[in-house]
Amino acid sequence: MKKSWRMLLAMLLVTAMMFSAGCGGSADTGGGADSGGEPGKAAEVSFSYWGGDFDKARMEKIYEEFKKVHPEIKVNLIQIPSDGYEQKQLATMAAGNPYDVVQLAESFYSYASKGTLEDLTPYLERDGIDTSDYYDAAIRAYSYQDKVMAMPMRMGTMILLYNKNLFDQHGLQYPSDEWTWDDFYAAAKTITDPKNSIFGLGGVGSWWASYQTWVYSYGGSLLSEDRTQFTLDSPEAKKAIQTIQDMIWKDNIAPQASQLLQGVDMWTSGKVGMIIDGPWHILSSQANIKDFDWDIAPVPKGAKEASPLFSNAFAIPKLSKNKEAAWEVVKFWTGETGQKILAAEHGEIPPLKSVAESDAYLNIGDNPPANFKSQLTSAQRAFAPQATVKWDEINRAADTYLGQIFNEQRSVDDALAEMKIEVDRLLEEAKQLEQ
Amino acid sequence: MPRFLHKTNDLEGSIMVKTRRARSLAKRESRNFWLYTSPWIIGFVAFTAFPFLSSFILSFMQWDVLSPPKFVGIDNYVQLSQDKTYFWKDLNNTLYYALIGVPLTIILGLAVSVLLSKPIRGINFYRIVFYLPAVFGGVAVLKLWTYLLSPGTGDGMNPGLINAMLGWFGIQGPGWSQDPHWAKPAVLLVGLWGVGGSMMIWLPALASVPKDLLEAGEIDGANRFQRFWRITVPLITPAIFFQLTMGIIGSFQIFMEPVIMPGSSKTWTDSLMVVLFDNAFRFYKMGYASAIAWVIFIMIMLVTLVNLYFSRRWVYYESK
Repeated sequence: MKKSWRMLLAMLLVTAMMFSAGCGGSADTGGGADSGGEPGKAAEVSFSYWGGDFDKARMEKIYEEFKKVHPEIKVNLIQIPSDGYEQKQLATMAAGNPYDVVQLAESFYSYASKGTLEDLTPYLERDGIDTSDYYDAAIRAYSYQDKVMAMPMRMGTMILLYNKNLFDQHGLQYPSDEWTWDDFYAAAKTITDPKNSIFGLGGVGSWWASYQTWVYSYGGSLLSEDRTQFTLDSPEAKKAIQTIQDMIWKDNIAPQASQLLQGVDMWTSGKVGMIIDGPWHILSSQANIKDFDWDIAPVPKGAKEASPLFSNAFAIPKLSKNKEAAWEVVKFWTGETGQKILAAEHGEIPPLKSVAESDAYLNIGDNPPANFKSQLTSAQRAFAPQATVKWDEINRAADTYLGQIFNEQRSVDDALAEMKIEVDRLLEEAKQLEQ
Repeated sequence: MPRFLHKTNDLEGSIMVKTRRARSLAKRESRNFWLYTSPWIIGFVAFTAFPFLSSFILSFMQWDVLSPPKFVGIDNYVQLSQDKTYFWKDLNNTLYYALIGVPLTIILGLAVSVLLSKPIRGINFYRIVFYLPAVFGGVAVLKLWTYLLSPGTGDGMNPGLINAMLGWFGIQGPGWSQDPHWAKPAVLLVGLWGVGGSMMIWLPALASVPKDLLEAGEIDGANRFQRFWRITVPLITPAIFFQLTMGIIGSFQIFMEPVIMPGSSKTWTDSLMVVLFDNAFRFYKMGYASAIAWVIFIMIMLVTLVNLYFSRRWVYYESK
């Protein structure tokens, strides 16, 4: 009995090693194999995306149009819940059996740096697609070593939404495209009235897009240009972070954590003069706000005009067995027809400029924010987040240390000094992983 | 052939038949044994032993799932021991949950069960009421608690129900999850809500305390407290020991509460299981996560062994 146990253990060890080695190996070696599926020939493409019913309806709508142009390509739309999407994608890629088209966001960088994605640049050149027809930030967000690894489908930026009634009440001028952070601060201070729990600005925090709105437009950055150095401790970035801390604690023009309400939206309930947040607030404000007038504007300017970009894109894994057909799919979804269908929702900005600038997008219907067009200004000012293979971990570091600054009034210098140690270590790890 | 020889032969033959039969019976029995136990064995090997061993091997490797694993020796463990921001902080939080949470759960659980062991009218109703929280569990309830515990301490802010009720008595409620000092107690508080669930263990234990001993105590002039402390408690030490052991193991594995109702800074409330999960399934550092898993395992093992060792001094089994 004892002997057979030992056998069993040995076998387990061997299978464990084989399993883990096999997994990585297959993903690594799959680079060269070229695609089957010539254009024009019958082909099947599996297409995975995340999201809910809304996303599903959009994808199916685009597919209906696609069928008319490419009846020979059958697309299997595979909806994966957002929760667990990354894990699923990673598992299929590691198993060497990826979907032919995959939707990705910032994690594209990890996949690209490990050589699992097809470089789309040759396809773009061959088919005469000019990437300058797309917003610059959206293309740059999916470029790895100057190669386009994915084509952007949707984008948005941090924007400013403001409550016109609160501005009128204090006789303040509405925010414009040319507003500066000083204008912003002064207005927020005027609106703030803690006795009635009214704040100039809604929640601001350690979430990357939130703090980076200040940092980048103040002229700072999280990482150096080549993403190998931690630069959040530069004087510009420090000033931006100090400003956020002051907004929360010194002048209390933004609520402290304990002043937030669980389950109550301070923006739609009219408790805040402004919020600086994602574009998803536009449609929900249009649907939910009845008690006051509101509008949108680009985020204020500092030393620079900069607003963080949210986006997602479609990529083709190197191990896809049907790259030509997959490319047709990507091209169609991110091309004019697909973009127009997205534009009709008026939510996120279509990265294809000609569509974004057309009425298909700008004509937003009932109860529109008057300055909806400022979305385009924001898109021009957008900057792509500095993704690395350590994107998630660096975000956790920011959440931890900036959280200490914003929630516990820790000194900016102390917290950033500690954050630097951690991020430096992560960047060192990133360097090794990318080699 | 002489008759006796024939008989002998016969005898030999029947013995041989018998042994053959016995052998085939033994064979069939062993085959059946493997057959009937195979669901468990296969399950154990595939879902327990294999991951267990893999994680041990992985804990000495660096593996991001996409690239092949790389052997790094004890690097993961070294890095872990130096990780003050997450690992040590989260270990500290976990120990807090164990050291404060487990005794509180035992004392409150026992207190509730003692009350619910009294033969009063409508006792079943009370038992159901106190047991229900153990049935309702999970994310929805935790979400509800985040609303109940909403602080709203600013001027003119509407607090959650708990702080509102404290306000009726002129008490300024704490910031709960939004306050670095109250975030962990908030997590414990939510756990205590389900304390009635432990009556499944306490009630039978209390019922098994012999009535004659309690009566004898009463006749000898022991008051209620003395009877409880000197007769009941010693007799239910096996149940206390069981709750203590399971409670400590459970509190080392606390996961859902800090994930669903984290503090304003996650590091206020995160437990070891959260840092394990984050490393495995957010950062895809499987080796590092495996190392954490083994550290948790070894800690639970050690604490349980220490517990077991000292139990000889205070746990009383009737059979001894």
